[in-house]
Amino acid sequence: MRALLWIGISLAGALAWGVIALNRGESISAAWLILAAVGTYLVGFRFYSRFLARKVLGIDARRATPAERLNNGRDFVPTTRYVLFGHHFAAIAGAGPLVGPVLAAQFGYLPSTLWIVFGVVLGGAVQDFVILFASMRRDGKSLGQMAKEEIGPITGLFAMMAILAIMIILLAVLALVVTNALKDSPWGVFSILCTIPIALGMGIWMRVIRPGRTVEATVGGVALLILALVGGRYVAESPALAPLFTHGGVTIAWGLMIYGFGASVLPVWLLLAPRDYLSTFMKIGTVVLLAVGILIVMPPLQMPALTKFVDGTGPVFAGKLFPFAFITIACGAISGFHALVASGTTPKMIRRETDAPVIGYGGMLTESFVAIMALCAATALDPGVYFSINAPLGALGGTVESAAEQIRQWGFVVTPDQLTGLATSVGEASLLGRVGGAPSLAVGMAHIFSGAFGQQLMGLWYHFAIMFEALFILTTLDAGTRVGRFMLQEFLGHIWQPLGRTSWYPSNLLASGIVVIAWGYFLIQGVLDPLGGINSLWPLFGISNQLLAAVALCVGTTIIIKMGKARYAWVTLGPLAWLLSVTLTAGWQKVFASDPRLGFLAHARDTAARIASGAVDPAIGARMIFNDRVDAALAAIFMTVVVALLLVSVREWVAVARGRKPAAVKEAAYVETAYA
Amino acid sequence: MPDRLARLRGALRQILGMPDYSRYVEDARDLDPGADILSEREYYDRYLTLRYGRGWFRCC
Repeated sequence: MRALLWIGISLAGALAWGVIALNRGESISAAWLILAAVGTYLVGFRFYSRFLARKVLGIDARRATPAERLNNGRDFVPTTRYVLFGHHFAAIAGAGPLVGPVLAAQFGYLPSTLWIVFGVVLGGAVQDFVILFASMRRDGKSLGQMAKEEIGPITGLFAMMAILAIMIILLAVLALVVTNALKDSPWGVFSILCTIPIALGMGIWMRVIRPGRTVEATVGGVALLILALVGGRYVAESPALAPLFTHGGVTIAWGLMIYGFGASVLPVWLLLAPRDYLSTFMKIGTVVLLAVGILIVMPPLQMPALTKFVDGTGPVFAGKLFPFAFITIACGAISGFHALVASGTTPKMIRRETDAPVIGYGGMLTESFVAIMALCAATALDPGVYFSINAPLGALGGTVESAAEQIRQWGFVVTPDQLTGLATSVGEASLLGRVGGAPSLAVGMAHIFSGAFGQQLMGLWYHFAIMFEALFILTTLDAGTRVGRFMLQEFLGHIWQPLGRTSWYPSNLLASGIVVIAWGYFLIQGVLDPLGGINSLWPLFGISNQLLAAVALCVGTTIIIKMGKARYAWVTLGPLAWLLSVTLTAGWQKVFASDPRLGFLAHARDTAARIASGAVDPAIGARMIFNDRVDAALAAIFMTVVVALLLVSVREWVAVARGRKPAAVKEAAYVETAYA
Repeated sequence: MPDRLARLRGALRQILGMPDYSRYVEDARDLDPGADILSEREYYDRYLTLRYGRGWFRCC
């Protein structure tokens, strides 16, 4: 009976893949993507994660977890499997899996779907699960600590430097996404500004007025958010109020930097904790709502399976399908950041070792499903509309007429009236060139929501989606700046001891300031970039995130080999080899490619030539050249760090294989569980 | 029925990463019946330090 069920699931998944693969030229329903994805996830979970758990890692139902052995009612707390699954999912899911697939949709829906689904089953979920397992066996040690202990001391330092650099690029690119969504949008700016006093009020409520009453404060906060959303429309339509909230990209970018700095030096109870609850609540709610919406509407996919932009000429970002589809879709398929979460709080809360697959592997499958839904929302849009929002203004020209003409040259049909009508329906003056993925995702979500829950509310749904994305990106700016500050203080403490004290306020201000200036530098660079900024920053983020995944897979491979399971090391070596080829190719092309849209150095040379011919103002040009060189250097540093780490790891693997080093891991001692 | 509702609320709190005072009181008594129990305000402060103190982050 069970066998029949699994044969049925496999056949349904295979049928859906068949429909996707064979149907060309006609639009297919999003239902096939969903069915193919879910079928593959189920088969992957049932068979591959079980293989990993039993054969490779040797999950032991009788072995007590750190949560059981060290239970202290604080960080080590045995937690029910499904609750911890939700907790872990809330910690790994963010804007990444929503934005990446939207950007990569310029290649068509097929490559993204394949990478999101097979990338997660064979790579991303494996990474999360292996690291979660490794950390669980080591009393919840962090990725950096495990790298240091299992591979060597230098790798710990490498991992730490990589994490700090990646964090800065991540914060810059997320801030850029918000900036592009909010520029010249009084509705958006008003509702996002409202989230600040709402969060402050909640913070005071939860600590001063009714200590610890987080649920009631959050429910009240969400109600006020909805009110702010509705209020935004009146602000946008009011001739007196709208100009107060209408700002260009540079002003909004500075606003975000001031916010990031201010928020990160305030006490956590005042702003970070309430925003954390609001954004987590909204995130889970919206993901569920989107799933329901897609299941009700089952939108047909308007985007072709493959577009001509696989040749690297795409307007959203430059670069060919290989390697750029695979680094653009970062978090939906494999994400190095998850290794930080999987070696953070989650391993300290696992009740039984046998819970680890559903949390580590299953949690990442769910994240991948979010990416598939974002892809459905983006590719269900008319391709002409999609490119009008996601191509940079520099390519589209400033008017709906010029945009429609340019899009016609790309081979898609859209009328100027259609573009104006769409902007009006969502309460914006214009949606042209709003790069970054969030606005087109919001339009796609608004289409699905209004199709499922009522047509009149398009504008409200659009701004709901924008607010939901901006809300958790702003929370990330705050939290990320804090983490960057702690890491920086650790470094600075080696130079002058008092700077390392996190309880010393001047040190906090200094370190926060440096971190904000660091990401703010890349943010402003992105806002001023005529190609839209996403073209240079998102690939840098993708490369760095996938390289962090490579670090995690190096650690995973080392641990598997040292457990005496070298014959199964391919489970992490396979994805590692793929990631290295993708990221090193992409990194190399971003630095050295001769196309100025693609290569940073080529762009610098091109700018120099245009300064010489008088086409570019020398001061602006000099700044652009400097930025290009910084970006190139950063990409080069990322690649160097990973290659160095790989070499150190390989040396360790060879030493174990040749018997020069014992195949022994540094796990916590075995204690029998009382739960069995 | 109220028991089930309370369990559901407890699960929701844990998923959202919120503090759960009543659970803490129960756990603290289980772990060490003689221990001092923190007030709700003290517990909330300890929880904040624990969750956010050394830099809390979640994925992009």
